[in-house]
Amino acid sequence: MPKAELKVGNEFGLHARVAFGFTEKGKIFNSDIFVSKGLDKVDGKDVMSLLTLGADHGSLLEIETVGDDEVEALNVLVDYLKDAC
Amino acid sequence: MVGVVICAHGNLAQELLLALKFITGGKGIVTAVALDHNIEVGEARELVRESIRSVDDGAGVLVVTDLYGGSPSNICMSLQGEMNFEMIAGVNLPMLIKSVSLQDSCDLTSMAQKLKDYGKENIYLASDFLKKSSDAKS
Repeated sequence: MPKAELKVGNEFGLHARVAFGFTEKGKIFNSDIFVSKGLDKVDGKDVMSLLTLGADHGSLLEIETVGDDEVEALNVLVDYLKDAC
Repeated sequence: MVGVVICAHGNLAQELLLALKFITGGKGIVTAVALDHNIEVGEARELVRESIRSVDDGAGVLVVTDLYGGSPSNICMSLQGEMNFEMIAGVNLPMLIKSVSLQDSCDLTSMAQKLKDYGKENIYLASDFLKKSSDAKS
């Protein structure tokens, strides 16, 4: 179950466009995807769940992937967020 | 892929579509049809028919309207015997965003049920979040 931490650098935070893009990147993988902010952990394949994290600028997110393609999934998602967020 | 038609009063359908495209980067097979209150019923029905046909690739179409019992909903419902679509009345943006994610992986019936539930589940009170945040800090 690989994990990665990422700080939200975008001044608008993890907003709807970025959240949607994240789920589009993630849905091609078999692995479960979880995104956490503090104690809140949500389904990373669902847009609204991501938005309910309220991850604004400076928030620390943890991405976790679980499944047979977990490593590839995590790499893709981290790259996406680094670029978008 | 299940196509989606947004049908609502005034400019609401078009504005929802614009907001959706902004968020999704234009992904999805979604169109909008505006039914002005001045429009004649026969013409309105034809506009809806054309919209449904424009997004139907054989997998069926989900029509989402703004208000059950409003003219857009009534006009759409009048076409249900003649075209293959399901209708949800009470569209919101979470529902539309999710529809883009589901339309290539769900059949029409299950997509309609999932989106009805999703639209309802994703209405929030800001004060609930603020309270949760405050409880977490204390």
